[in-house]
Amino acid sequence: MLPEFDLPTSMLNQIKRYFSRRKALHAIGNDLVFIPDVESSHRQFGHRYLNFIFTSNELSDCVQADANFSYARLAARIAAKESIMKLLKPARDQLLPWQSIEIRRDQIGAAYVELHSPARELARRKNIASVAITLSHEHEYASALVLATID
Amino acid sequence: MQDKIRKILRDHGRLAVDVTTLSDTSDLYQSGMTSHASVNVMLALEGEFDVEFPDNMLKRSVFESIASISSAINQLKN
Repeated sequence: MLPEFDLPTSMLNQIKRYFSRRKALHAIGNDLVFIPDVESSHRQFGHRYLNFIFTSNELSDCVQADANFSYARLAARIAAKESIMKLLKPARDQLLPWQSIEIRRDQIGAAYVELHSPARELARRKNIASVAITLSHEHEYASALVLATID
Repeated sequence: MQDKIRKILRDHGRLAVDVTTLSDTSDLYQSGMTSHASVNVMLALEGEFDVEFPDNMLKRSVFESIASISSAINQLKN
């Protein structure tokens, strides 16, 4: 149980003003992917290509009613992963597997990010507290925008 | 080997410049290769040279230049 504090009103107001002026630090990343490139890569390299970039969950999320993959959805997820890589800025000798950045959908279809090792540890070292993401696709392009909150 | 690597980069690297203008040590990422394109380059290299890049070689530094790619393939072949 928290102790009760009996602070003067003037002090409480100063504390409120201090926290209202503090600005959260943010970082953004975005990327644009040409959807036909993704289809071309799949046709050329098959499951090796898909399994290198995507988790099984992501592949399930991108299957259409006709059981074929939606290249628009796959491309949007590639854009999301590239956006997050731009945020994380791995060193040239840093391993950062594509599957360590996983894009999921919640029950209402909104995209969210799950980071796995080593992406998770890299985000922690960069004090990234949370990552919000939005995906889009139209005609031949898919895009993603990510916003990270930094502690 | 360098010629085969250059051909793969031309076909899959999505470079912003003509690959013939690049030196063996030119930075491929600075020349327009995205992370996605580097995946295609890697898969094409595996097919062309009959090698498989192990997890510990899947770093930007391995694919950053024609020289570094050549070195990696020589390492895998030997």
